[in-house]
Amino acid sequence: MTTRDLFIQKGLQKMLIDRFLKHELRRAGYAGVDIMRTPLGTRLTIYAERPGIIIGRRGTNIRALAQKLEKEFNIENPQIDVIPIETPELNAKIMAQRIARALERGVKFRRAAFIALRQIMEAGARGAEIVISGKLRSERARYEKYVAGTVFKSGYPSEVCVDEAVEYALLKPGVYGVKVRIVLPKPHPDDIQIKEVAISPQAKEAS
Amino acid sequence: MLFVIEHLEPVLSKWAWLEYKHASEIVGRERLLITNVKDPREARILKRIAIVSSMSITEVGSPPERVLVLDPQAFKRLDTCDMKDVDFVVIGGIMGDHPPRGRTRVLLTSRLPGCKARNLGEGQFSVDGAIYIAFMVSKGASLSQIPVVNGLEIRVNEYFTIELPYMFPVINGRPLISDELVNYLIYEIEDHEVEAIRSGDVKSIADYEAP
Repeated sequence: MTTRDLFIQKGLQKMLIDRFLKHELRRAGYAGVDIMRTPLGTRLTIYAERPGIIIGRRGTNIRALAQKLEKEFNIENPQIDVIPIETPELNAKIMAQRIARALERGVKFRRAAFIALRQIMEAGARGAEIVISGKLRSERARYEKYVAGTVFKSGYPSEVCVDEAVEYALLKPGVYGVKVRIVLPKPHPDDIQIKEVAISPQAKEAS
Repeated sequence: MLFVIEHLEPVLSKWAWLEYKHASEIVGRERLLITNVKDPREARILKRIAIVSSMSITEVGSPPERVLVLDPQAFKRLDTCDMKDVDFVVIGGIMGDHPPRGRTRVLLTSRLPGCKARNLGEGQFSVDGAIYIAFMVSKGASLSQIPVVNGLEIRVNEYFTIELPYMFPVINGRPLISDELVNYLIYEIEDHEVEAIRSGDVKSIADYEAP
């Protein structure tokens, strides 16, 4: 196997695991996984909004999950760590999931999007954009865009400061897509501070 | 010459109704024929704005050489001379996808062998927009004389915009869209869609009409 094939295979497996976990841990607010090979096996670090649901009573759920991962993806001795997301409102994946689930429950989606937008901004984001797009049967496809603050779409700031995620809401009369972009409260290259320099009385007199 | 909308959606949604109504305002009730309307309740409502038939244009439109279909996937562009010797100008009553799936070709052009198929340029038009352009071309205007805009953004407030990824003819610097449709998109569509999501089906305009 060439190095290129190895990386492709690893990437593919990570994607499949991510998709599996996303489906399995829907209720737990799954936000991502890091996979690392160790001498003892494979360490999976799962980020989630509600780790308690993943762990279960006395660790029953997490043990079952480890068995499933071992069986379905041939992962040797999987060791699962669950890390809670400190501020779920600043995680694009979680916010997109929240809106998609609200859509599936038949909640008024504009209201859900505005609430999510307000929560994101109150959590300290510099900006946020939520796009709900899709089409129901016998209606036209359209986009609804909700924006607050500054949202970087290109260049270095968009790579460094922006968290982006897409979720789908599968409904009986059609499909909606939810795209969330959050500009995180990180230092930004455009942030410039002008230092105050104390001028001595002699320098003032000389000028 | 009749302008025909071949209704190809399973139900007549309010959005489709508003586009058809606007199309009727453009060409006039007596020159608009809506075909393939199977639901008698929908037919009763559509009779207010057009001549209605439960038959498809594939059955009504003969000989096919006198039928002109506006199909975005047609190879030739619509020209003023195409309107000569034509009895029916057909527009698909399809509420478009984005990107378009080319349903007009599958559901209409392929079922009318021998008909003239013409496009209106790049992109996908709304039903009323396509009718307006066909109407103007029938009056002698060429496609290049009719300004169009790609995509329409309805800014509801500083935080919220609705984007329609379609082509719209421009009249006096304003895209051609009915005020009723804009109001529907801003104030009513959310309730209708939430109801459709809960019930699992999009309601017909006939369901909202008083009995």
